[in-house]
Parts: sequence; C-alpha cells; structure tokens
Amino acid sequence: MIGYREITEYLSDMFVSILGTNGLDFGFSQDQNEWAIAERQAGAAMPNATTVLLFRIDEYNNWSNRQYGQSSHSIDQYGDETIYELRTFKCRVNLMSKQLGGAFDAARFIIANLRNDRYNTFVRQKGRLLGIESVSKMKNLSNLENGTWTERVCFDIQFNFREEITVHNHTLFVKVPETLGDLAQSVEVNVNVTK
Amino acid sequence: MASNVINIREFVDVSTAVASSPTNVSRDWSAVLFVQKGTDAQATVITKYDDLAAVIAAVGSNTEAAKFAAQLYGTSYDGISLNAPLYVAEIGAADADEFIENFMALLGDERFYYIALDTLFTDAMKKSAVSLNEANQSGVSHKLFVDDLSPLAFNSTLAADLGNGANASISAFCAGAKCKQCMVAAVNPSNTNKYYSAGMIAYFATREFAATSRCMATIAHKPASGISPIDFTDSGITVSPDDAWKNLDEKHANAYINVKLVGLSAWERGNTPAGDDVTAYISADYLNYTISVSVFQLLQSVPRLAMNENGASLLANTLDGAFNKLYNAGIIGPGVSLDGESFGGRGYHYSIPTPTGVKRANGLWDGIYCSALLQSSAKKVVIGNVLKK
Repeated sequence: MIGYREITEYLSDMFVSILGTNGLDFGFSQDQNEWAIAERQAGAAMPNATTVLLFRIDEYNNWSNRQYGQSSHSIDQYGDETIYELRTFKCRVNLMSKQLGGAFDAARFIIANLRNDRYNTFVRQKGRLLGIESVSKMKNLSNLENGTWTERVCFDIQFNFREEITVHNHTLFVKVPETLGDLAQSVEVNVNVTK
Repeated sequence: MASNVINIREFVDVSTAVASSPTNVSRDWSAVLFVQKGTDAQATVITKYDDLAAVIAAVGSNTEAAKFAAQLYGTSYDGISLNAPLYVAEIGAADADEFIENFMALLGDERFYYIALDTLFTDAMKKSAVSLNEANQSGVSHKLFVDDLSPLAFNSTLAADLGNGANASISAFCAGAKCKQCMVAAVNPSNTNKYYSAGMIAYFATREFAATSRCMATIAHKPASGISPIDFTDSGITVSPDDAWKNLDEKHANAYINVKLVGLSAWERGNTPAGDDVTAYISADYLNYTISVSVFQLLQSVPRLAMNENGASLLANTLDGAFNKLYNAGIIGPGVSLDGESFGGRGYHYSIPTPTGVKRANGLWDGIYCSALLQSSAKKVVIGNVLKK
C-alpha cells in the first residue's frame, strides 16, 4: 500500500529535484526543507523564503472501489487478499512569492522541466512511484493574495499510480497430533458433564 | 433364610458434580487389571489373558488370579459375560512402601480401565491403592474396585469404624475420604469366593456404549448370575442383618444381597464411597474419551484443519458425531440438570470460537466448551418409593 506520507514525500522530493540548483535564483529559501511544502504543513509565514511551493493532493478520482473497473482482487492459498487498482489524483501546485515574478518564473520552470533530464534523473534515483498523465496550464491567482505574498500562480498535475493493498488475514492451521496424547497441543476441548 | 433378607430399596445420589476425567488417553474400556501379590522385591510382571481357561492354563486354578478370573468371567448379566482381556500384574509387596512404588507404576498404563486387588494385600496396602488412584486421576484415569472383608465394616457404624484410626475398615476409610474413583464391595468375612469386585467389574465391563440395550446404567438392583449373595449370618458378623446393612449403607459400600422387595439377589447401591452413582464417572470418562478420539481422527483424516469457520464446522460435525453416539446409547439426553441448567434436543451443547492470539499462532485451537447432561446415572433419591428429589 502506498500511503499519503509516501506520496507527499515523493512529490516534495520531486519538486526540489526539478528546481535543483536553480531554486535559489527564484527566491526559494536557503534551506531546501522549505522549498516544497505539502499544504497541510504550511502555516507560518517564512522569513527565510521569498518564494515557496505549496502543493496538495486533491480530486481523488478513482479512489473509490470500482467493482467493474480496472481493479483486480485476488486471494492466495494462505488467505492473503490483494487488491490492485489504478488510482489517479490531481496535485494542485501553488507557487507563492513575495517578489513580483518569482512564482511566475518558478512555475514555468517546473512545468518545463517535468519532461526533461532533471525529472528523468529524479525518477532513476527515487523510482517511478507516480506517473504523470497531464499538466494543466498556469493560472494567476495573485489577486487573491493581499498579505505577505504578493504573487500566486497555480497549476495542476494529474498523477496516477498502481495501488496494491494486501490484507493479511492469514489462515492458520491446527497442528496435526501424532498420537492421542498429543491432542492437547492441537485442540483443547473442555467437557462439562452434569447430572 | 428370612433373617438374611434386606427389605430396602433406594437410590442415593448426593452430588451434581462429576469429576473431570483426563482426555487424550487411549484405553480398552472392558479390559481389567488384577494386581496380584508376588514374591517380595520381585520385578513387576504383567501378563495378558483372554479368558478364564488361559489364566488357569498358565497359573493353575488355585491362585488368586484364577479365583478372580473365575468370578470375572463367570458372572453374567442378562446372559452376557465378559469378553475382554484380563491383565494380571504380579508385583512385589513386602511392605507398604514397596506396594506403593509398584502400584503407582501400574497406574500410568493405558491398556486397562478397571483395577482390582488381590485380597492377600494388607488393608493398609489397599487403602494406599485407593488414595493413589484418587490422586492419579489427572493422568490416566482408572476405576479401582476393592473388596472389604473386614467384620468392622458390618459391625460398626461409620463414626465408630473411623474411630479405629488406622484399623478402620476399607469401607469406612473410603467413605471418610469421600473417594469418587473407586468402589468398595462388602464381602462377608469368611467367604471363600472373595472377589465380589470381579462381579461388579463384569457388569461395567460388559456395557456397550454404542447400544441402548446394554448402555451404561446403575448397577443397583441388577441381579448377577454366577455369584451368591453375601451371608449376613457369617460368624464374623455380630449384629443383626438389618443393622449390618445399615452400617454398610452408611459407608456407601456396595453389596450383593437378597432384597425382599425385588424378590431375588441383587446389587445394592452402585455408589462410590462419596455416595455418587459410579456410572456418572464412567460415562464422563467415556464421553471425554470419545470426543478426544473423534477429534483426533478428524485431524488425521484432513490434510489441514483451518482455524476459521470451515474448520469450526468440521469440528462441530465431529463433536455432533461424538455426542450423538452417546445420545443414541442413552448416556446423555435432554432435560434439566440438578443445578438447573437445561439441555434441549439431544442433551448437549457446545461453543467453538475461532482461536486468537498466541495459542492460535502455535496451532492450538483452544476455548472449545461442551456441556452434556448425563441420563444414565441415578438422578433421584427414592426412599421407600417416595420421590425425594
């Protein structure tokens, strides 16, 4: 099973790898931990960063149980159940910057690099956990911002991955006794006889 | 002779508890062990005989084993005599210590179920045997049958008899200890056919658990052809027959006597020294044994028994089979137990929860609980034909 934490860590690493050595040019923090942040972690204004990338996993298409869909389901001989399903989701990326153009440039840079060597290098190193289905066009949402951040650019990346959930309901078996005297180690029957 | 006739007929059944007997023991339910006094310090020798002729051919007719075998194979019930092996264990018994050591070794043996003792053993040895057998029930369970030839058993009340301490009769000793795994047969002191215990064993050993016609039932009021009633006019008995019987009765001793009400000789009581009907204990032993063997056979017959609903239904079928066998034989049946638990249908119920935890991981299916209601034991106290319970 691929957990939420695994997906967000993967995405965070992916954005950091894509920005790479160029990250500082766009005004990202000296500390790479502050570059790409899963949205539920973002609270405080970050004094060290001029630009920041916030993302969230949204629109859990196909995360329901598709009884007649592309899922498959099997039970092995020991009673372990495995459910396979192609899951898709949308990663909504918001780039925020305190300086005009920082978010805009970084967004264009990331979208461009999602189909070049930097992305391929990242996949070679970390494995292809997620497949990219499509990347949406950028939207300028700067007029929603009126505080610390002056610029906000948004785009979506549609991802998919293969879900494999294993349910460990092992069936255990009774130990076979060799003699009648061994039966107590296999089946314990308590008989209460009354008159 | 009129003075030797006892005018009494009653059941006594004082307890609702049936001692749990060990499971997982393979035994021959008809096989008998006779423990014979051998030479001092000899090594124990166990010999198996198939009938009386074999015993006589091997050791001669004037031995205690042959006398016992003659009573055992010669006593018939409804024309059916014993058709089962007799094991004779010759043990050294120079003193009580040697007897205890050798007798204890015999109690671990699974081949037989009923045990009887040579009358040549001292009363102290017989009492030791009773105590050892009571204490050994968590291992291999046996039923011990002891003959009591002491005049004290007839002549003294229980309290007076127990007052003699180490010299108390075996009947009083067992009654005082409330033994549940033995039976005492009273024998008039100068009787030459000493093995009344053999007559009782023959009754229980000829029962067939699979048939209603010969199912396990109380020995009380059952006439036995082949043995004669004990003689209350024996020179050792100094009290009247009625008093002698009252004294025996108080000690829960069993006796083969003339019963006026029935009009012929029959066993009286059929109790353990604690006062319970012994069939309850024998039936409980057999029930546990049947269940163990059935479950064992199930585990041998299937490749693997899964610890889930499928496995539970296989176990349930097996338990049903075992209980139905006992129901068909009339040992268990529907009703309400003396302590108020009701049993419908066929007189049993059980639960088989799917095991969990460490025991499950070790391949042990635990937590199976079964309850059954015995039919065969005397469930009522009848005194003078008045129902008391």
